[in-house]
Amino acid sequence: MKIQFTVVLFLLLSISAIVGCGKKAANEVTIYVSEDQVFSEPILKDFEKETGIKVKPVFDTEEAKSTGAMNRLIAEKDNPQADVYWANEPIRAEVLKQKGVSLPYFSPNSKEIPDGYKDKEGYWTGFSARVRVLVVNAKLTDKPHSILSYTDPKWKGKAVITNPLFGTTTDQVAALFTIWGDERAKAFMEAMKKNGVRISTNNGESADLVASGESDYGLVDSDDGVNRIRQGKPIEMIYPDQGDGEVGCIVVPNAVVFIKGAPHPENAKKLIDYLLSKETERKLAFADCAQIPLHPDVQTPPDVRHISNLKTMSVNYTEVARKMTEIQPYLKNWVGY
Amino acid sequence: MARRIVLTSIFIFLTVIGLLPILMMVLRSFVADERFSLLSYQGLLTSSREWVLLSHSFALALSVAFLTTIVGVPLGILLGKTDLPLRRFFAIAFTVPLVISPYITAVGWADFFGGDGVFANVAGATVAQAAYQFLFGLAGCVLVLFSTFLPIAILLTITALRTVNPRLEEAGKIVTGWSGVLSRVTIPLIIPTISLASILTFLLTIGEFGVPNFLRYDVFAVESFVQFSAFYNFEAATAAAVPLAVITSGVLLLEWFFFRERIHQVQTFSDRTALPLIELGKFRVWMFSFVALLCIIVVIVPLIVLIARSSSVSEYVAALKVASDSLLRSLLYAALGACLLTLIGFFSGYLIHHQAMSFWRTTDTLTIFLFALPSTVIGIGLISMWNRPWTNFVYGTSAMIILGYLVKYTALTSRITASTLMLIPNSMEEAGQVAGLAWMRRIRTIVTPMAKKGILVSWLVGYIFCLRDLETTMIVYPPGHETLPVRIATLMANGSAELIAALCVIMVCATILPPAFLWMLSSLRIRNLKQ
Amino acid sequence: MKPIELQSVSKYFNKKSAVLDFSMQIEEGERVVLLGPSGCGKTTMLRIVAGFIPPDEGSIHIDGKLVAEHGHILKQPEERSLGMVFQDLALWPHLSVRGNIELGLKAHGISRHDRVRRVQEILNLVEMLDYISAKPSELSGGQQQRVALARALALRPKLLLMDEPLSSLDLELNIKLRKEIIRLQNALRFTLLYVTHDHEEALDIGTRIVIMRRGRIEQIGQEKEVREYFKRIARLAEGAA
Repeated sequence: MKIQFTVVLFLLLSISAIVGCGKKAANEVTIYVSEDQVFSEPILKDFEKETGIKVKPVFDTEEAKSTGAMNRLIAEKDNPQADVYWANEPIRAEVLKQKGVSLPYFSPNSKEIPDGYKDKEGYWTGFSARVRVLVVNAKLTDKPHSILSYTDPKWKGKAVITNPLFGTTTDQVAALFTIWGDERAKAFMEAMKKNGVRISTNNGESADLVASGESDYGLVDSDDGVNRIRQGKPIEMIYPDQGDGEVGCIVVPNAVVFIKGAPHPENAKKLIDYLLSKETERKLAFADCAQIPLHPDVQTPPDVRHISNLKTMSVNYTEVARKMTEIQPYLKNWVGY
Repeated sequence: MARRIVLTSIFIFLTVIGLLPILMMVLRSFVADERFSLLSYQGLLTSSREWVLLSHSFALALSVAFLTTIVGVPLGILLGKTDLPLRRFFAIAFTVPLVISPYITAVGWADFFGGDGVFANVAGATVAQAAYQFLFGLAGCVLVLFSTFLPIAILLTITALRTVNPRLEEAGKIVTGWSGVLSRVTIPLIIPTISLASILTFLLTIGEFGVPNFLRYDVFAVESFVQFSAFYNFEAATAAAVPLAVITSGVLLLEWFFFRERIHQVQTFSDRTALPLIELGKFRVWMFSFVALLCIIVVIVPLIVLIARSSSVSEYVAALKVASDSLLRSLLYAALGACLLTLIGFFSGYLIHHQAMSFWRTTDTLTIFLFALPSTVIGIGLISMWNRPWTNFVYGTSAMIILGYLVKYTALTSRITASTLMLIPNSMEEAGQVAGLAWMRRIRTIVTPMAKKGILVSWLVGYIFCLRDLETTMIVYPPGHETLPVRIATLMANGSAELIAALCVIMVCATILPPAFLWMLSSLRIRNLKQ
Repeated sequence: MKPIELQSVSKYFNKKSAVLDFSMQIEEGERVVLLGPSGCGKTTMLRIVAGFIPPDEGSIHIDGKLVAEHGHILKQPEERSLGMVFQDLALWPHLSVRGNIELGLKAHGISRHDRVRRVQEILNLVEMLDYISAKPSELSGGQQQRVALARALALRPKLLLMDEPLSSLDLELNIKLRKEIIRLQNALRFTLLYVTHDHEEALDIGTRIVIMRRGRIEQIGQEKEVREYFKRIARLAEGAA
């Protein structure tokens, strides 16, 4: 009898705790975040402290481990729970625009952000960017300086690339398709495969494989590179294709999105304004993610190069998003799925 | 009357929370531009590559199920029925890999065999390199998933052994030795439970994606995952899950054909009678060495990597600071989930075992089918069903996590109950009926006490699976209320490896806490009885 | 109690008949034995009377009330006020002797005081009072039989069903317990429906014996008639040999 009573009491208390936890507080904002939690969470906590608005986040995992924030946003479209989406690259933001999940919002803090890094209709605004870089094992004497090294026979079997079906590698490949055209881009992909490129599941793994010497170099995001260097791993970071006539490196900004039907629209706008502020960009530059501010006059640490000091790929993210959808079946085949 | 109401309610509950959301997803997969269309199935039907992936999945699942059975059953016998030293410790230790995400175990093995890993320092770079290459492919996947799912076969074997009437074994001992008794009496009696363990392992493996993806072995489950992750195409992702449902049905049919014969025993022994333990005699040292070696390979090696990374106290302090709220939530949800799973699984198992209503087979098929489905399909299905303005009092609360557990894992507790009940003679309940006990009273005073060990195992298995759940929880948890596995997964992206390792060790401790506590309780009880 | 009426009862399993057109009336206070080889349908018939399985054809009345007919169970076993001793005894291993007997009494709402009295009474009757706190596993085969009998009789049923309860006992104990059963039946005046495959057991216990073969009644009669029947069968068998 005692055991039964205890079990019933436990069940009742648990159920009330569980139902109670979902109750919406008066002053809160819900944000779904695809940027790594270790980097994004401190920013959100600062926002909470400064504004008194409770932030309820849903964080994402690395691309190839599970399907989180994006699928939730799309699935919840008819009865949105999120107010804001913090995308770690603009293509996802474009997908949400195409699927009718977002609404335009022109934040006052977005005025100084260059036009190339925001949607002209206001559906997303870029901030705190990474660039795609080559991380190279420090022991190498001869180092690659271009993504075309992936097709150079002298690097046969020595390079690694993250699965191009997911994350920022998709952005890069889709961007190449828009710049080079389908024929040249496919030729590049086939040559890369023929050159024995190793496929990893995410950028972090690519960086780790290079650091351990299992691969000589790999294409990753700059924050993955800086992160490993600050941890003392034996790698160097090279900004590829900086020479004349070369394609430059692609910039991948974070992007913030205002969700259509957001339950707390006013708080959502405040959070978007905060994320797009110079102070947020400064913090993300100095954090281990080492992200590059898009505002022109934000202070950065010495190992974070400013956009203006780099040769960058000239891309239209809307076009890249469309191209991505188009080439996905090809990429699926390329990966071997 | 009460029986009809309760069992029908269970069926309706499972249908509403489990089948309906999935049905909505499946129906959507047959629609394009508001018309019937097989567009979502086009890739599956026209590509030969899918058949190759399916064969890979089959090979992997069959290998893992086979190995876990042929190793797990003898191991269960060693740990549950012999005088092997430290057998309780080993039984708990072997549970550990089930708790850790198999992806982390795979990463641990890769680190172990890696260029600057422990193995390279011991065996040399060349041998380590060969082992490392061996890891990437089918063999590595089998190793990782074998170590992860081995506890299922062990736990279920130990449970089943405790319900074998020792008199039957004693009768066998008169004419043959223990090997004859085990092979001709004991094991045949527990075959339904063994087959359950094999089936569960098979289904868990065939739906596994993370480990094969990391170890570069292409499997069918990737299809559904890619449709979600890269294409955001729910319809195609659901379509990609349909072959898994077909395979599940095939497995169930085989099981019904081969293993449905019921074997009842005359149960007259009580809890206080010590089960006859097999004395290992001169083999004791050898067996102990074998089990210890297996424990080292399957449990200790992956843990070494984790513990080595998280060796300082400050890491654990930092981990608790970062994730104490997630940990508490995980413990609460897992305990509650386990209680509800045990309750629902009990009545579902009762329905199946007794074939009590006409829909018993549908219930069994439904729970197994939901278990086999990719978690993301279940998660999206739950969102489609519950994310509506009039159900916001459920959606947006942690009740969604519990619902996810119930949908995904009822098959486990249901089948464990059914296996347990299979070994209780029907006459026990009939005697209650004749004595005038109404159904609910019979359940409470006769069936439950006789099945209590099975119910406890049911709770433990439910607890472990709820605690380790990631994919379904990921999709449905209310913002700001993530569980520990979700936290670990999200922090893995550029999080400190030391922190992640510490969190995994904390997760392991949280899992082994209940069985360790129960072990202490039962040891105390036995000591009191002796006094 | 009114007679128990079994009218044209038939039962089929997988289209094969287990019981075929079984009809008889059992008067109050009778000791009726269903006798036959394994598979003749006697246990099936007993379970139909108990209410665990419905008759496919025919009807059953117990104490004047229709309890089952044509594929339907109209009164569940717990509503038929009967007692039963199972072949495997079905003593609940987690309960003591007292617990085994008390459970049914509690279910009938009998007060604690009356329960204590009844348990002691019935255990006294079967000479098992000294073992009131023992668990079934601590008892011998014969002792378990007595407890199973006591449990079945504790609720003072008007009809007691017994399914080969003595089959696993040695001859000496078997004979002893037969006498016990007769003594108890005389003392408590219940109607007994008893199943066995043992001729001598049947002849000893039964006031009327029903010989079954292949689901049908071959012969019904009292001891003298049945002995004559067996002699005839034996002569026929000798002649055939």
